[in-house]
Amino acid sequence: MPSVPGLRSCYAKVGRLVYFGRMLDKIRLHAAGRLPASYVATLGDTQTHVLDSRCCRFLGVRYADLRDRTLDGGPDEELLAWAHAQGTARSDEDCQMWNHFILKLGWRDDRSAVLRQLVVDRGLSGRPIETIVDQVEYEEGRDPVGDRAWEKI
Amino acid sequence: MKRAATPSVTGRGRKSEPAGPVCFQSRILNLKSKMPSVPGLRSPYAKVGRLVYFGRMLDKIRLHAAGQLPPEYVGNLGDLANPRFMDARCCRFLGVGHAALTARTLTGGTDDVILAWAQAQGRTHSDEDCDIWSMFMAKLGWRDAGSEVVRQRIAQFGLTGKPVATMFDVLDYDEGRDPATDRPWEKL
Repeated sequence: MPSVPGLRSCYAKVGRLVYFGRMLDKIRLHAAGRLPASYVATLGDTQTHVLDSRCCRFLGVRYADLRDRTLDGGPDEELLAWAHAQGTARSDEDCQMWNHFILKLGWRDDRSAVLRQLVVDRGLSGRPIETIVDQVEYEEGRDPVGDRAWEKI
Repeated sequence: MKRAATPSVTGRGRKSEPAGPVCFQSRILNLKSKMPSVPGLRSPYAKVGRLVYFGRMLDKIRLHAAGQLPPEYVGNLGDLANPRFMDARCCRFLGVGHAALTARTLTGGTDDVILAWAQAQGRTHSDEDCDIWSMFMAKLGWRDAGSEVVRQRIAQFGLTGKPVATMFDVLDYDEGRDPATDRPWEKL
């Protein structure tokens, strides 16, 4: 999948969290009919292991509520503040650990086998992919390993 | 992060700690040689209940009280020396102080009983919170601020050539275990 206009990297942070901004992008793009079909199946919080679902559980908000609030409008930071106010209180350390947990997912854990299959299925064999997020980034034309994206969060 | 210089406890040519992120608990001292297995000190990968590392922290408390914890481990025991040490991280996650945990541990009881006490005293966590914490700890040192420290420890502990990727790997190899072969992360 080439780069999707308006869909930011998983590494991009809003406030203290990686991925949250990307989830907002997907909500907005889907509502506008511009989210590619291959992304729609993993949208939301109905599948436990997908990143949207993990992010919503960490925040303590339902995806449907976040979607509705996002489409009401407002900048990313305002939406994150709303989510924090609605959901589970999290310390800075909680957020730091969650960021690392998400960015390292697929390396030495129960998602490793899924990741290996995804690399094959998406035609990414040969890339230095070690995490789920690596796979997403390479698939969309970015190079997280060359950029050492994890050093900038 | 700056670390205060501490007196040598080994008499084996210890150098001052370099400045930089320090993200793990045991054997933070700059020793030149490999630490053999410490009897009674389990791997950081070993779980008690839902948590890695907690059992190792209890081992250190018990060994220290019995005068059997090697001096190389004593300088970074507890949650006061450095917030990035693993004891400190574990205590903050649990929401209990290391001194209180030490006192409770030394009154006796199984690991599971002590963990239940800690969870009753401290913060409430979901299974997913515990999983995130355990994964965070087990992967610490790989692609994060602790990576440079891992590289330093590999050289200092004589582990060059070993497939060390994390702080837990450093501790396991340093104490004579072989995580690359045992793949303990697959059992978490």
